[in-house]
Amino acid sequence: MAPNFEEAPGSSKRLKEEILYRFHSKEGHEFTMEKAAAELSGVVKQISQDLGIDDDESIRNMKPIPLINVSSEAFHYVVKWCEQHKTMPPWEQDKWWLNERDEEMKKWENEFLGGLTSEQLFDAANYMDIKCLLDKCAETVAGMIKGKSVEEIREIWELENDFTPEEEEAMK
Amino acid sequence: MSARGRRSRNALADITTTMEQPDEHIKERVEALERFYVYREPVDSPRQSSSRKRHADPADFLREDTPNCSGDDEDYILRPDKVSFYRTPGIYKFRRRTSTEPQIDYFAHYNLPDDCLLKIFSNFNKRDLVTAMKTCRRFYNIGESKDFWEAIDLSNKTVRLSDLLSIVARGCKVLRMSGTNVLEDEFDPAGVEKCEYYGRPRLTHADFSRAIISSAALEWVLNGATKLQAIALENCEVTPTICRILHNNANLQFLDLSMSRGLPECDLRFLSAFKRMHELNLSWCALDVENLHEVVSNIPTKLSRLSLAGQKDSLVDQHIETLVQRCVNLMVLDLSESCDISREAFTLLLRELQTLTTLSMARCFGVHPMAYLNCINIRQLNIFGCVAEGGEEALRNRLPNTAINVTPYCDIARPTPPPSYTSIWGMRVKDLY
Repeated sequence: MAPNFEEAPGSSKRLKEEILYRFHSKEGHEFTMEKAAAELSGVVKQISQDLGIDDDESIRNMKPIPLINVSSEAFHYVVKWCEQHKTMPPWEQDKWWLNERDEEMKKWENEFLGGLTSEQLFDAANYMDIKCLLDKCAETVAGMIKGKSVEEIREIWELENDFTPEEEEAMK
Repeated sequence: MSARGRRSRNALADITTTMEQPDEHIKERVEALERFYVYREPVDSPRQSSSRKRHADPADFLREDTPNCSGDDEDYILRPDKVSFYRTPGIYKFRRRTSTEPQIDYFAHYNLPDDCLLKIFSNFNKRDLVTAMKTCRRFYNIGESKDFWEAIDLSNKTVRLSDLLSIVARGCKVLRMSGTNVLEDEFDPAGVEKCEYYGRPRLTHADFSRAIISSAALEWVLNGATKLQAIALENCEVTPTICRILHNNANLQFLDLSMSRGLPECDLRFLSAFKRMHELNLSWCALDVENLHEVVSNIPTKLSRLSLAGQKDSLVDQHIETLVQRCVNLMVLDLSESCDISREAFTLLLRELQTLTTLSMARCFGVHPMAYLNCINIRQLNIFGCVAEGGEEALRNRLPNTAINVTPYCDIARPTPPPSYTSIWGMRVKDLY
């Protein structure tokens, strides 16, 4: 069941006092995201840099950023994630030990990703270049297929076995 | 039907009573089987002849290697007893690991880009990575990426040589093989061709200490390596070919050849190639006087830690003289078990090597105990077996800044010195989980 986008935190009917980025999803829904939250996304940062937009006024007057690869549903979750993480220190790609979150945040993250059924979130995170979400997603997905057998993984990911029997024998 | 049930309850009793001549061997076998199997009434009619039709029943082979215990040609079939089978503790011990998480259909009709898959795969350990690689061609190609195979821990495992070669061919950099058993009976030359196809091995740190590996196999693995920084060949067989391979690795910093065999037959001048070497361990290699002469006259000059322990009568004063001239930066020196070092050589050693902080002279009986009183600048002195207990006490009083007889083991050039547990020379090899 698709969530009600009008009531969601990323709805377009938000107070005008906040500094908001506006987005268009694949289906044409309009979304908004706070400045701090939106800047978690590498793509948004890059676009505003390219357009030379840095002050708050021009962000307000900016046209909505079209995200042709991101569905409304996925973006709804992306907004949720970013709003939650906007106060977090920047994600360190190589120094993973600096990315330790407190217990509350961990619990929220696990609940958030545990309840998800949309695989498009991963792609959205990849497209929008949101490092923390991407890594967390990868971790969750990896956790799902840890310790499974070859057949089980094939079943989950609906993969086809395209190896020849001789190759399979050689791999054992 | 009721008769069959009764018989199955008293399986052991039935079998033993039907036996005309109870045999100890059969008794044992039946006892062992009794826990899992119950006796059943014969399904077939009594055996007609020896050339009867074969069954696909798995119980057939059980029946065949059980000697014909009863005089009449009675057939009996053994089947597992469900209740006792499932109640036996430890029966699931070797079952596959399974995950309790719900199976969500994330990837149905949906293609993730390769870099996302790379990210997912980077969370796996080697076992899951290999499982994922086995699923399909695309995953196989992604999983072969060099980043995943940089550090590999094969310690105390048993691997086939062809597998080992393909691991090295995948671009492994840090390889831990301490105590690994390498099987060679299924040696596959295709693996070697693959190795050449991928170019030279990228090995930088290799730990072969105590590995059960033949010198030929070791040559295959190391063949063409030029980027080695550290290698341990403790208790391995060293050949002239291996020495030649090592000779090409000018960046080698740590070399552990302790207890290796075959070193006296090699040309020891290969040591001169290692301009940047920090630590060298040549203890217990059974070198003779000429070998040691070659060693000390070609020894890398930048050495800071050196072990020449266990040379018995081969290490003489002349070697010490050459050594102190060539290696002026030595900080840790282990000369234990060298009986022929005289007091004069020892005094020379102390006078020339000003930077020396740790000195091990255990069981060097040629040095007079009073000579140890000159070790004023040395922080740690190991002289096990050289002085009596009273003398040790006296030394402690006279040398307040020196710790005497604290570490009986030497960790010079060793891959995993005490505080570390799995890393080799400070490089992590363990998987994340």
